[in-house]
Amino acid sequence: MKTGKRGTSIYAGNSISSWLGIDSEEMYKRNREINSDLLEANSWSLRSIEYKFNEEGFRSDVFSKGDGGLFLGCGVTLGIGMEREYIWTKRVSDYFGIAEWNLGQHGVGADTCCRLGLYWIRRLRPKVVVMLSPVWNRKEIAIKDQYTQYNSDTAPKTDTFRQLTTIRENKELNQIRNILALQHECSRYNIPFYVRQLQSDWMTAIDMPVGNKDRSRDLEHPGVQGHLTIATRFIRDIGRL
Amino acid sequence: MSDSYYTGISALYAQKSGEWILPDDEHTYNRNMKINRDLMLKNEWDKRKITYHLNSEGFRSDGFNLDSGIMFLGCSFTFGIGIEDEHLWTKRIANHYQMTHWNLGQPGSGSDTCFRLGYHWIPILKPQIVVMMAPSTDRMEMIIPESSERVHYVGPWFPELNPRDTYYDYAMTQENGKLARTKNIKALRLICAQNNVKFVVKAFDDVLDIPEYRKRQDLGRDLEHPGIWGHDQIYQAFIKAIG
Repeated sequence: MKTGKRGTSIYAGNSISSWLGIDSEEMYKRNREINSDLLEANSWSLRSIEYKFNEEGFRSDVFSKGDGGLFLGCGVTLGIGMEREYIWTKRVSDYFGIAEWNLGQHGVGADTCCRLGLYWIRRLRPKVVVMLSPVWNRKEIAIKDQYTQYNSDTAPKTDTFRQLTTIRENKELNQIRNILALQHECSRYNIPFYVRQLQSDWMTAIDMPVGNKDRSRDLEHPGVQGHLTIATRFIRDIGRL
Repeated sequence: MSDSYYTGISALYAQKSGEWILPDDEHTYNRNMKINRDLMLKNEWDKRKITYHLNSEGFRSDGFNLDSGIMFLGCSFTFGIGIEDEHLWTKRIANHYQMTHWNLGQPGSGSDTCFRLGYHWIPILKPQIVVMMAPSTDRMEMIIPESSERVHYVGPWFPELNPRDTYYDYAMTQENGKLARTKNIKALRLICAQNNVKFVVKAFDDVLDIPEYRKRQDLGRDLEHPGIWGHDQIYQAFIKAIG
């Protein structure tokens, strides 16, 4: 995605698709062969997903005037492998009766959340900003005129740059910096800001018991129950708006 | 995170005084006295002497006691490479306000370093004022625990950058430094607000006319950094900003 506008999404504006990223048709077919019990446990043979993106390229309500909640995070927040009505962001915004402005992006870290947040908070002035902070081994950088995503697996093994994604101190400082910058931006406009961490993986983060079969269609992300748990926690954090 | 990442340029320098600190080293001085003698004499570097006093944490600063202090964040211009204590802009501002001088400036560093040090030291020292002269946006830092320096400052000028590496692209693309500076300043603003500390920030090229100090040939002892006139320009700009 081009660096010309800091609020740019990975995805094309006004697009619709049935599959996205890791939640691909190929992955689904493969899982039907080797993980059919998990797919059936979540009724995925009966369900379908529509990934619909607004004109700015976000899986979100349109960015209009009015009361809205702004959500930041990775694929869990975007709702990879999940129908929109079950995504935790949708449940939270429905609970409070406000528009859902979901800036979640698949595969990104706190850098991207912060870049998008700093761009859109000022413009949308949401009632609340909620961040499900992604795992720490992800780093976004601009190369020439493109924002590019790396993580500890994809950063070149022999490259000094990789140490920004692997060394705990670099990751920790980066995480803190991004969250404090967002918190400052929210405080400028008197907007409450809530953040929780996905430090290891989503199952640990939301205390899913071992053996739990709640899964998204790609079988890598939370299912209906997981999204409900995340939503419930944030609703409890927020209390009243 | 280990406290060792919040010390100054090197623990090796801590609590020491010396006449030289890179890039203002004796070799450069001797070379300049030969090949740039006119400039050295014009700035009276044949007569002037510098002693760099570093505190127990490795900063060119008063000790970190719990007095009422003013904190400075920035690069070598803030550290005061090539200039005596009495002309250093940070020292003059601290004297002006009669506050303890807590100078956390680090040669070669960027806004990442200002954030790292401010994040650690502002809640501990609780200064009355934090003054940041934001370094240029082409500098980043990275912690590499197993290396001798532990914290590496990197920019396009860094000789070990390999053009085939992602790190080269990272350092060479201005958007990274610009966005990082924005985030670092916002994060520091929040930390100061949370600690009830006044925060004043200006970019280094907003407070110092760099072509002008070079044109005036007003230079520090290494002939790269600003001299007395340049430090006075920075001092005046920040006194006005602090009020």
